[in-house]
Amino acid sequence: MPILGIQSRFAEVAKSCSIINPKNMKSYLKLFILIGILASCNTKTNESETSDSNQKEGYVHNGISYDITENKLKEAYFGEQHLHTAASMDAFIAGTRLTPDDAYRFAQGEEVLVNGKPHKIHRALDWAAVTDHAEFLGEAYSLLNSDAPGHDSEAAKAMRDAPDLKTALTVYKKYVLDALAGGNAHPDFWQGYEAVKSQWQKNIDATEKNYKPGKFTTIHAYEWSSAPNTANLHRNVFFRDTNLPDMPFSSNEGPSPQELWDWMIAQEKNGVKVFANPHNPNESKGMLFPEVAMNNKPIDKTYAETRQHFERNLEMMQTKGNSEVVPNFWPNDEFADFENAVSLQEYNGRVFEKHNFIRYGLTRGVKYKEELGVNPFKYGFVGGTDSHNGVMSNVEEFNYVGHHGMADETALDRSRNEQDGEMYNRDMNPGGLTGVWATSNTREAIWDGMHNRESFATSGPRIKVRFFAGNGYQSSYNSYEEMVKDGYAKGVPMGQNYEGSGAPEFLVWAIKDPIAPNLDRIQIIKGWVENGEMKDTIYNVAASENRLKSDGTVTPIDAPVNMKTGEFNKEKGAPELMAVWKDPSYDPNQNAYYYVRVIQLPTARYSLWDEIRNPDVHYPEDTKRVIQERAWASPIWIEPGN
Amino acid sequence: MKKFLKEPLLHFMLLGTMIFGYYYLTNDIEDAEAAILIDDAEYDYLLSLWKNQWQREPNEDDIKAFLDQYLRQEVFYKEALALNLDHNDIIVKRRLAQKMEAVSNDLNFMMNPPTDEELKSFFASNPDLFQLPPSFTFQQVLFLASEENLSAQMEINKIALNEGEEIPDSRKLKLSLANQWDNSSLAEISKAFGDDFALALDSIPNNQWVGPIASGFGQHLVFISKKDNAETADFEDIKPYVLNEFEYQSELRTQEKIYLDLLEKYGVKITSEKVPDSVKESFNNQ
Repeated sequence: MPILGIQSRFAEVAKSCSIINPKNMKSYLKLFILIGILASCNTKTNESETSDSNQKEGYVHNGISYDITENKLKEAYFGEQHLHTAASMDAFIAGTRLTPDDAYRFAQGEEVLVNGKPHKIHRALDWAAVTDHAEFLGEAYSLLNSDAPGHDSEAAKAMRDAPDLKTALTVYKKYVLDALAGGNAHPDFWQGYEAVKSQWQKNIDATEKNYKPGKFTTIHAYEWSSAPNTANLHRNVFFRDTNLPDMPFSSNEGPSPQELWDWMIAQEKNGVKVFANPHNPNESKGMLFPEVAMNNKPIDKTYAETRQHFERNLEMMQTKGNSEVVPNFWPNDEFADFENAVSLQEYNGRVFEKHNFIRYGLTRGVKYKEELGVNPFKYGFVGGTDSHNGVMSNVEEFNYVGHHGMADETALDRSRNEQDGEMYNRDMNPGGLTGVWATSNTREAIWDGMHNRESFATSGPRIKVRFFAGNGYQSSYNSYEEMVKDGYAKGVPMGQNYEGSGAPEFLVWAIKDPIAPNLDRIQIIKGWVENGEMKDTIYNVAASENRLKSDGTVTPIDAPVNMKTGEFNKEKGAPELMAVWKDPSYDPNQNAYYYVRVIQLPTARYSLWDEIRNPDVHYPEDTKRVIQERAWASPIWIEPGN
Repeated sequence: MKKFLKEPLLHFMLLGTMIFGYYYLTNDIEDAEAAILIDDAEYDYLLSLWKNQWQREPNEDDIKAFLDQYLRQEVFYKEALALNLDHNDIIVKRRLAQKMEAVSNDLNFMMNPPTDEELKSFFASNPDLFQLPPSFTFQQVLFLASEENLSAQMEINKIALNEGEEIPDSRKLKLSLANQWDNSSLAEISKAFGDDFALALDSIPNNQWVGPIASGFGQHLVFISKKDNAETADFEDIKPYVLNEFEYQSELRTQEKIYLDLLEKYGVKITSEKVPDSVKESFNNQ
């Protein structure tokens, strides 16, 4: 049906003219009728199109059919779900000029100019989403487009021309912070909502343009950046298809998560498929996993249901820290001291408290399940960078060139500068990565994988991890295929409720990243509620070289990094680990969750690479040079009585 | 006649006439003199804008306020049109020009959906656009460093495989890695096995089991059945991409063509002495 194709394409173009209102729509409709008359004259084309569509069946996007094989075992696709480009005003002021299109090209392996220097990702990504701040999209439109109103305003010029970080910060204060402090949501060159829509459309266009079904997936997305009293409540919002709002909902329209959900409810009524992933619980001042909502009412069942419906994954780790746990509150977790970004506590009163970390949030969620019947914090895991440089998941330690424009572009800047108003640069890290188990590399399959929480986070390496809970698993399998088939046939994958009878068997499996060292061990972390008390504990379930002892402890492994060359140990550890594990203290009447942590052998941190390559650069003594990277698989829940 | 039918400017005018005629017949053309009409469609639109911003139902005061705002804009707009204030306003000009370009872009696609022959000829005349990176079709069998008698095991397996035996079940999808890789680019292979493994493939002979080849996972036996240096993709395989590229290129062409046609229609006279001669020339030659 060529006419349909034409109309939908035409509608897209019509949408891109941002001054459409129903009156114009009426005239467009009439145009359609005319086009219909014209097109129906062209019967020859009709025939060829019809015979063509008979030949090819399969995945169709925008009227084009693609030959895509479905993999029933599912594959782990690695991608970025949190990234800013020049269309985020803070990134623009810091010097970033890469557009959403540039960012998608970087993700696919093309070279781009990062702060004026050519840079490439070490390994291309399978999928990506640009998540520019909704709050200042309109300003970004004026800044970026020479024919846009406001482009030549004094403020816009000052922002574009800032030659160094100091000037940029002064400009930022003068035109943005002071405007906000004065009660204005926008600096004075904001041109109104038409400008917001125009930039949103540009982001949409870049996302569509770079989508190559089966090869590279792009997802329409943005960031809702609410930070009441500097408590970070930011959420990234993801759309399943091209049924999109004409404008994203920003924290200017509503600063509380409930207002965001109200908007999402309205979107769903229009057939829009959408979910959100919160990030940086570590900066949330106790407000991400709260006892009362922002309207000061206690969390109730409606709140819990709505939140669980719309919020599907937590960002486990990104450039501004790992939010799983910190040693202060989990002293018995020997791997808790990892990219904790401790210096962020020195700014904005964002002091660490137990409430700010994911393991607390998951356990509190389970307790809410007991109290309200619904778990509001039923989250899977994703990882991201939150790079403001437009460099999608540039996560390899040896390839790190900073994430914040002029603030951290050189090794020297990273070793001694602070990230204005946030933390020390040396406490930042290149950020994390998301793996999604999906049947194919298409937008719908990746979105569905994240929505079903069949996703996992890594601190950067491409470790793959699978996690099932069921009954009747074998202790080992002859082949990977048998194991995965059994995993699904006799149980549920990560992100779901265990549904079997009796004590669950947990089937867990991981393989290493081919360019990283071998794996050290796999752990299962359990959280539960016992007589109203929240508890959590860690089980070692597999370790390389038979180091797992019968008392559950693991003999430490000595696999040092060469501090002169940065090389990791290539002999120790295991490329693959697998176990079927049963919880010795399983109680069928207890609400609980189990998630997986895979630990890799030690590698050089970017701080060590910076020092090796720049003999004049010295990080302070207390900066870590060696880290143990890891992966986290989304939880499986036990919800008795469901 | 065919060429005539493909003239974008003609389509433009034809459409313009038809649209005008249609409006005329349906007597629905907006009359600048008429009172401002707020019908259901207009009201619903204003209401949805308001609700989008405030996320609630408006009360009577709110309704009055947004209608007032709209009417204020509308009367000033009408008066401005009456006084010809839209003429030579740079923002109005840009907006209208953008809308015109957007319509012309799409017009091209509506009028000229490419035939298979056109696509094929476009594909054939632009080999650079559709070149594939070097690729390999190969099989691999993985052995782990922890296996006993590793090198002897690999030798035995290599001989068996070269004698035509199947890959043993225990080594199928070992560590989840596929045994068979079809037309895989070096970048894909690097992503899956690491750079060293990918580089090693280049120097291996075809059509025999060779090894050990090291990767980040262990040691492999490898059988390459096909090596393709940079070559042009198969048309049928990448038809959607050809279509995308074709549309993009013809959009550019149509836009340029319409621009030039319109330029000719209106004509251009550059009388300013300050414009460099070479620039003047370039417009006169159009």
